[in-house]
Amino acid sequence: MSRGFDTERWTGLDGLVLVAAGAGVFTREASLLLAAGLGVVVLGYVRVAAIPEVSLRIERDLSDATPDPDDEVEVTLRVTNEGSGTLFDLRVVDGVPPALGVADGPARLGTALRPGATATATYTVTAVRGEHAWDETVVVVRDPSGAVESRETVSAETTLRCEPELAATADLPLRGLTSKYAGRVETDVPGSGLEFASIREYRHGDPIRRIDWNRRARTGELATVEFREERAASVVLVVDTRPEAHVAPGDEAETAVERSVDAASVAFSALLDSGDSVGVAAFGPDECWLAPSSGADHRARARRLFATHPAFAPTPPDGAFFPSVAVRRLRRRLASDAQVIFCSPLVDDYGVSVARRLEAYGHAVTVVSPDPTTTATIGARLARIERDLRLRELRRSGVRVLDWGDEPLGVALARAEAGWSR
Amino acid sequence: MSEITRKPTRTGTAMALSVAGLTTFTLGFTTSTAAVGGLVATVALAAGLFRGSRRIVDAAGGLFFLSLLFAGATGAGTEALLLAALGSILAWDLAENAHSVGEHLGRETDTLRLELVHAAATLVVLAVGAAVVYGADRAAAGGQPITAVVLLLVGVVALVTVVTR
Amino acid sequence: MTLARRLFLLVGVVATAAGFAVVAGVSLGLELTDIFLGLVAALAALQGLRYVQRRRETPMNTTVTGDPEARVAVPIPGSDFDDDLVSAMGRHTHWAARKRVVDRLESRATQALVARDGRAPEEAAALLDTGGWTDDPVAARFLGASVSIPLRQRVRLFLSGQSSLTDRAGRTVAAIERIGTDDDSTGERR
Repeated sequence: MSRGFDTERWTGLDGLVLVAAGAGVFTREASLLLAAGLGVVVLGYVRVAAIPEVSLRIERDLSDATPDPDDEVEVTLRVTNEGSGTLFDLRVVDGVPPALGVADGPARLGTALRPGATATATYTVTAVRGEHAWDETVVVVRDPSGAVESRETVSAETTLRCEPELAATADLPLRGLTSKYAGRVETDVPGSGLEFASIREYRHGDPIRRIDWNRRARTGELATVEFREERAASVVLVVDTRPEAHVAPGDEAETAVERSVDAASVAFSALLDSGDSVGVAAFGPDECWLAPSSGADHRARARRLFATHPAFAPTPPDGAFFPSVAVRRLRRRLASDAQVIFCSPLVDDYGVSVARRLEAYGHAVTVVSPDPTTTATIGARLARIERDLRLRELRRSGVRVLDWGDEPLGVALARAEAGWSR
Repeated sequence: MSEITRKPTRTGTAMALSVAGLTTFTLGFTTSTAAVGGLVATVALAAGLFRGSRRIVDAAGGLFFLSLLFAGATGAGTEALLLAALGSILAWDLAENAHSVGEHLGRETDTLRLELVHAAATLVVLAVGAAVVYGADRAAAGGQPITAVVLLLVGVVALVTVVTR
Repeated sequence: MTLARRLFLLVGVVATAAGFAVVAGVSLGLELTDIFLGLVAALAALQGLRYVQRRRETPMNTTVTGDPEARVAVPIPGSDFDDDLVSAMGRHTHWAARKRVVDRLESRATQALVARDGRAPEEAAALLDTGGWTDDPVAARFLGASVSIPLRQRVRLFLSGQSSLTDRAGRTVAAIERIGTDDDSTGERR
């Protein structure tokens, strides 16, 4: 009887019983006393109310544990009463991951459950990029009279992992993102390029191809030819994941961070395909850094990173964040000639200052800015004006800006490129 | 779909209003004033359920109680009054439960089994209780002295005080 | 169980037993007057009403279930300004919020005049002072210009109930939207 708490549901019934009994005595009507007697029976029922020991097992089945984005995944929740007592009043609310929205059917269940019996609820969630773990399921148990209630939690580990392919979207003219600074960067470091640099003494392990056979024939010495090392341009995709960037034009709409990560993953793939060395960084409380590189392994690493790194989660982060420290750290990590593609909704002034500072340090900065503003309220309209002013300010200071509205990214890019190449 | 509709469930609303209607019908066998009271209480219960207001549902319960009190005081038959009391408690209980289930699980969840079990449990307790009380009354039929009634009332008051948490 | 409870239990059991004894025909030698009966009834009713009253004072205890079906809610851009507008009309944070609203609109109007209309910063400030930056006298007045609103328009405003802070802020935002769009003739729309 100590389990659960009193709901106070029947409070006041005792008073009605007394009033009825008093009226019965006063009027000498037996019927009123009988009615009071019925009330006493109910009070006794409420008094003995108790909840049996709750022992539930839950299982969850996903129709597809690794879906593509926007796929509908059917979730089957099975609740089994493993205790020895019947649960007369059982209400279950499943712990759907915060970033997933339920498309069909509530993730809830209400039933009475005999020992050993199982109840099932089915609902559908819409997959979005990320690794989504189910929270614990909340269970509300009441005694049949509703006088005592207990809240319990049960958990079953379930994870939905949605890792979109980093597909080479051929129709995206993404080469333009770096074209302004295109071309291989030539260095003065001797290595394995095309242009002749110097000849040095042979060291064990030098490739046979690069041995100077003419000299060998002439003098009998082994020497190695060195060429000027060639390095591909390195591009770092920086995604604005600050709490400020977690905004959306509506309740069910994609958040600006989700769109930024989308843009970054598309750009990553396209740039990698065109031979650049690409890195990834998050500008937010959760640190994330993938140094520029290339190759199939790198692509797989990035794919996993975009999908599962907590920094890129669609839910707002709650850690403390010191933006100026983060800017300094980012600067230290960027090679001096690295180009930056900064994905940010630019809904506050700090995003602008990050882009301007990186540009001032000599990095070529392109801002890809998903537009999360609406005209729904006065504040929203003002926010749209403010964002427009920020884009103008950035463009005036020489930063290239891609304003990405509702249209596909490729369309926005083609339009922006027309402006850049003027 | 984003949020559930936190309103009293349709199942519970239908059951509560049916029982309230039957109770009003039963009150019709007592006095016309009590029947009108029952009607007002039923309307209030419907309003409380459609508005999703626990306070109005409670007020409807209070109106049922006043109707019972009036019917009893004006010499209603024992059977009719006991039946109406049973109906009043059941109607309020179903309405309140519909509200509670609606708050927890919303209208979208299938809660038929949950609410039927709850209704059955309350109905069984009330039916058994009414039978016991009625049986005791029959057994003691023949005009028991008022002394006994008062002693029993004092006893009930004391026991209720003990039972009340 | 407390002492009082035990006492009540004892009284209850004894009285109930005695009651049943009387019903069964045992005479206990008790005489009850109408006054005594009325007194007992009144006491019972009084205690009963006190218990009923307790329901009104006791909040229901129940679990509150969340909304896991909905995606985590993120704000829409500009919701902070809407919040300021609401608290500017509230009682306590009134002045600070109102100042924030006006300051923010003023600085955006200035920036818009510079960035979209190609004005110099001093020129923009002067335009704001005179109200010459917009055709809408309501917006001009809201940002501090001493423009008088024509009587006819004032009556219309009064009748349409558009004199609240929200409406003036809304008109000001609309006026800023129009800066640099060569569409300055719509000052009296809506």
